[in-house]
Amino acid sequence: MSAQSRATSVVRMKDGSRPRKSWLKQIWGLKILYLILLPGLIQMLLFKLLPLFGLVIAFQDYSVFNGILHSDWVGFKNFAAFLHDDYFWRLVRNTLLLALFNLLFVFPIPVIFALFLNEIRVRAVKRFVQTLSFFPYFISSAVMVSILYRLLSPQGGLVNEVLNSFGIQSVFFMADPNWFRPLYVALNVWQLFGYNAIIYLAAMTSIDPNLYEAAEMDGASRWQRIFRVTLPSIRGTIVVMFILAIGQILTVDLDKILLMYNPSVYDTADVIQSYVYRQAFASGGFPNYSFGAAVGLMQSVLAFVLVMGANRFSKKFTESSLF
Amino acid sequence: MNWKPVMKGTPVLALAVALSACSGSGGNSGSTASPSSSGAASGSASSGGSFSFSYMMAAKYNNWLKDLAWYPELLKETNTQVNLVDGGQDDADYSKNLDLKIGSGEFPDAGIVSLSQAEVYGKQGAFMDLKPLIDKEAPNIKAFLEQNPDYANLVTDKDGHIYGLMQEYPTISSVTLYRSDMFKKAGITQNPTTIQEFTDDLKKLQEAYKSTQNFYPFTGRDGFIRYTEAFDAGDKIDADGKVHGIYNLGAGYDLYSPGFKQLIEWYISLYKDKLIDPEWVAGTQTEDSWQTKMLTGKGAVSDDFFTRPAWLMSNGGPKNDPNYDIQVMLPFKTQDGQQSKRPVYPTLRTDRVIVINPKSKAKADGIIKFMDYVFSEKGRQLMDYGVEGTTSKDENGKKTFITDFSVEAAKPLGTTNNGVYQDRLTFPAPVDNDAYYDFLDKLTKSYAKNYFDNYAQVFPTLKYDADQLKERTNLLAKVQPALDSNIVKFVTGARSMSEWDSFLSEMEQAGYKQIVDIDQAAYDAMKQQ
Repeated sequence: MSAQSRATSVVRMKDGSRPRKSWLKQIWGLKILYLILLPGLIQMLLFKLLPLFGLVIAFQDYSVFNGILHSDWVGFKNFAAFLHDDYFWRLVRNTLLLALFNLLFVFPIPVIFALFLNEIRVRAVKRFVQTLSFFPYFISSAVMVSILYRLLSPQGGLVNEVLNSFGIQSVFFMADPNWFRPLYVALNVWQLFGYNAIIYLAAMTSIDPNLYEAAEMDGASRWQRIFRVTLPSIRGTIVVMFILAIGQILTVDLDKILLMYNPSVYDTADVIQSYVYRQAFASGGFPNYSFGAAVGLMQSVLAFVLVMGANRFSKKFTESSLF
Repeated sequence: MNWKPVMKGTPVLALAVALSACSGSGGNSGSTASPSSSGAASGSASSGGSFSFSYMMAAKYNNWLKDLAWYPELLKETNTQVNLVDGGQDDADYSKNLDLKIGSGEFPDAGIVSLSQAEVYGKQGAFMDLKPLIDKEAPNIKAFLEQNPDYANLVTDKDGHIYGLMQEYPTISSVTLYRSDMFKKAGITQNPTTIQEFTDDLKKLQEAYKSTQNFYPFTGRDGFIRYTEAFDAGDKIDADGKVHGIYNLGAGYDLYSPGFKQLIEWYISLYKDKLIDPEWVAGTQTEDSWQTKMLTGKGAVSDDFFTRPAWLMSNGGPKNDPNYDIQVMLPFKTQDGQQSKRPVYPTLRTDRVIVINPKSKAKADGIIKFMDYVFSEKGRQLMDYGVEGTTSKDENGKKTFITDFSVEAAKPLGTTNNGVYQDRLTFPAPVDNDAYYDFLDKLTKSYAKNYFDNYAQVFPTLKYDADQLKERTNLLAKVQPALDSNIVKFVTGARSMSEWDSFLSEMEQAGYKQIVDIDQAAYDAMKQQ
């Protein structure tokens, strides 16, 4: 149906306006769909929107006993305390560097992996590799870091044994601040690449097989098919995932950091979250929720600005965007 | 450690705050309605007493308590039923959730809090003042308070209120344990009595085991700074009432004392000579790897919890090596020839204080009577010596244990345990050190009493108010990692000792002395009280 014929088929009132159907009637007409939507909406209201009111504690000297209504208001005191902290810049630097390295390696590796995996023609092999790569996602951080300690120990660790066999002296990986970031990023890559690749593999399944057929008939090599067909076809998904990853730029895996944390690597391992944890939640009976909430709110606002900026940038230059 | 990412949990936390805390609990004192045991009541071992109350501890303590043979006896004697409420899996989990539970009114009839929480929230009406109840209903607790002024001083606030009763802890400390068979092989016939002799012995061990790959004679876990007492470098409160160093009941150190610099220089020499395990110094040693090293002869000396020698002996030591033998050496002499004493673990547990919810006012008399039995002679006999005829027997007025510690301690969870373990949290009670030492395994019993009576030192416990705690925590969050990190740098050579003075200035700037001032203020306030 052409656009013109579709326009003429719309029923209009005498004054040219469309007939008004009450919104209640409209909802009633689509009641099944709205019913399906309802659990999700309730979940969002309860677990996403309602808790936002709790953020007012960032502006209070919050006491659980006094509650939000009776705790003292302190304005921006908690925000100022963090911004004026002597450790502020070191913490921001450590957090940002960790997040940037994470973005640099954890983000593209699943894309590359998915592109290669998509080229495997034997389905059994493809499934086996995919399952195997997915497996580390289910290993807890505690087990993962424990394995890392064992592998990298300077006293009998496998990696150092191999180094020693080549005449290279043992490296004390877990106690060297310069090794902290590479190890953290490597762990994240290992844990997440298989899981994240699923999203791209799913996007690849929707690519029209005719495109590959046409490319093959035009004599495109396998590499050319990857770069000229597959990659452009999943560009939208990559952009959306990238924008979402930018939103997580100030979020680090605190579990992993605290497990890898030791006095030798404080210089590079101490990040905003670990500092807030020490400040707010290890206070011998009186947790400083307000300080934790203030830092969390600052991070969220910054992440929101970054996501909006990235989305706008993407819309302008790649025609793909989150919203 | 068992924590969860704080940032990840923010929405849940915020929800909990939004739902539970808008009005606060307000401490509705005066209500006589019996509270329902909210939370996960984990049941009671009682066959049904006429009086019942709910009591919250970490789940691990509840589980242990339910197995103890003396527990049903206690309930029978007091005609009480206790509904045990799990407040979290372990101590860390428990304390993380406690604040929210108090604020949201989920606190049961009675439960465990910290002393600071008891006072701060008690003043706001969240917990009952136990003083009038003790005066009226608890002659044994009253007598105990009169006979133990330090305890009474700590649990009584400046207005004379008592919001909670604290657990006394056995007098125990770390000990230096060593492989006596390895010492013999290295030609060491006498135990070292000074730091110099100890260093010489470590060198002999290194020489004797030079063919063993990755052998470091001195190994351990957790912080490696030990023997501050031998260098007069520990934190302390001196005879004039002056606090030295960040106060940690003698388990910390006084950064600005001359002895501390000497201690670090000693560790530098150990590190350079490969006498100390670098994994321990770096802070990467896990409990598992330390145990493995001590069991397989990759280390010969360690400094750890006093029951560890017995643990190593019964967990594979002699299986790996038939000659395997672990012994304990006495603390070293100070540099001026005086016998040093090891700081004991806190004997007054300010983190284990029982409080009563004012909403359970109607049950308060019953709860305090129950606790009075715990403080009574009969109660003490039952909790310290177990069930007569099963755990111990009375011989001419003297109690003798008839059960074996190693058998009872090895019993799996869920089976009746005839042991007595005063170091575990049950109902905060006074301690009987002699009974505690007497029930231990043979090896530990062979040195415990002599060691802790003569070579260990009890340090006074400090009490902080909420503001002091908050400021201290904020400062410690900055100072402690910087301290730990720099000390490792000095010992490993990553930072030169020529920078020691600038390091001291950095620490002062970070707030080290402010923390000491807070400790001093807390001590002065207690002294005044």
